[in-house]
Amino acid sequence: MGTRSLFGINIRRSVITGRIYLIIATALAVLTSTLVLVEVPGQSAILNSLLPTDLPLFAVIGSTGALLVFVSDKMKGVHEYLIAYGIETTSIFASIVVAAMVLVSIVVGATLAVVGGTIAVQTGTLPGALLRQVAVYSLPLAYTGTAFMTMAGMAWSSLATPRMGVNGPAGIAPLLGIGPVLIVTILSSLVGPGWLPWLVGGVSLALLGMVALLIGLLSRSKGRERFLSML
Amino acid sequence: MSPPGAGLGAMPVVASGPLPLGGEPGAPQIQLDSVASGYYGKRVLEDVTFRIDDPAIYVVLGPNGAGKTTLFRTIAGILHPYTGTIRIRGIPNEAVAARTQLHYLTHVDGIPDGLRVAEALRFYADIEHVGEEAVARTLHLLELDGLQDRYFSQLSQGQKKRVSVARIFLREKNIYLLDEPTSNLDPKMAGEIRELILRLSRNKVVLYSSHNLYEAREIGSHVIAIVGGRLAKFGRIDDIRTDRYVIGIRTLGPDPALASFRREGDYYTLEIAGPEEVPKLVAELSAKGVQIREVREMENPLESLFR
Repeated sequence: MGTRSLFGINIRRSVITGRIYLIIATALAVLTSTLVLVEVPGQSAILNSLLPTDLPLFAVIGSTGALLVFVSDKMKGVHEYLIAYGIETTSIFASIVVAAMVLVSIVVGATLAVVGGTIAVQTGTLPGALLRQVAVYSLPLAYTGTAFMTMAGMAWSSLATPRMGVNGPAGIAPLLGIGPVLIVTILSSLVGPGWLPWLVGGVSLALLGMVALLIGLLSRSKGRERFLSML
Repeated sequence: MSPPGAGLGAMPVVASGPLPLGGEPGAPQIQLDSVASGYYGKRVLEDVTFRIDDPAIYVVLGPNGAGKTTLFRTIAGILHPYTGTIRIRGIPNEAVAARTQLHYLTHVDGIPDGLRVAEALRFYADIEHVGEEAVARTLHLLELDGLQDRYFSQLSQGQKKRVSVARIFLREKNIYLLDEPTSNLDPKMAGEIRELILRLSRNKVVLYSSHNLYEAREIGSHVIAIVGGRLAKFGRIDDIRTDRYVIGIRTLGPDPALASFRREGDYYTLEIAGPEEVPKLVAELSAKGVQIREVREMENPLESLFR
């Protein structure tokens, strides 16, 4: 009962709860990506590739709202009621991951619309290289990095007594999502351009695998006491 | 805010229609067999066995830490029993089909952060697939109309409890697990909630935990006593025999005929064999000219369960 509703409700609540993260992350992604479009004599090649690189990082940060909803619901005892009302724990995890994906789409969509529009206005066209980098590098890492961050944060919150603030899962988990993105960024400078899709694809699959593994392990566990706010 | 009691008129107690009865025809409403349960491997309940066939209010009693909340959480499918089985109308209790048959209310308010009162009820209405009309009727029923735009976090403890309790009136179910539903409520609202639960409980199974033995006796017909995690008593409250039966007699004024009786406040107290002796005693005292205003039991039979 109510599983489909739960997905819609958690998407809406994630947007509302995480709106500050969403606004700041989108603004920074747009700002930093647009600034490097300003023609500066002697600008470096690294700055030219800022959009593909920073988009996944800000997407991870901007999607923190979904994890905030999970941690808050656990502390408030909402999960206890959802389980009693017949909602499966898998659905609770999945609804939060889906909500995080929606938040990523907002950051990515808004940033690409503004930056792409600016480039198109300036040049009358969209550079194919940039589009390829976004498609091959930015989008996969934005979505899989966020999914991993969200699921790892939920696992952490489920296994430990939740503590709000920077020491809790909601405060630290974004680092878990940023980590793989930065590692790929560093490794991509060590391998040739031809290897980039394989590198990103491999890391993305590994992150998705870990998400599925965590959902499976946590949902299979009969010990639903981890969903209780207090004992 | 609505005038007091405005929500308790002739309107239906539950805002949205009943769920179809699931499960096996003729199966017990709730059946526990040798259930042990607890948290992180630490057993709180041990070897609990009972079956509930008939709709009624079953009061769950026990000292603090006895395992009452653990019992509710285990029946609701939130805690997986270490041993034993639980069935709701013949269906294993952790199946979705079983869990959707019951309403669960515990002392944790379970209201999501950052929501106003109406939004909080809408959240659970969406989960239960009932509409805006159910929310509006429930707000009115629980006299929450005036609070619907207030943030839940800004409410008093009693108001929060009312919002939390309101959930169970959104949709009719067959089984209600209510863990201290009137705690934190003022006497007037506690009485009104009890009245609503009594109306709600017709043809329903209600498990109702309370620390208040007098409330328990007032509302319940059966008792489930948990002591030290084990089932100490399961049965009709009327069948509980006290080891002594003490009545109090209040007269219109001090009466020399009762001078030999013990006094407890306004009452002359007397230990007799049982309730069947009361009419004879009243007749004898009346014959002696004692002007009796009230006769009451001075001890709740439920107290004997915990002596």
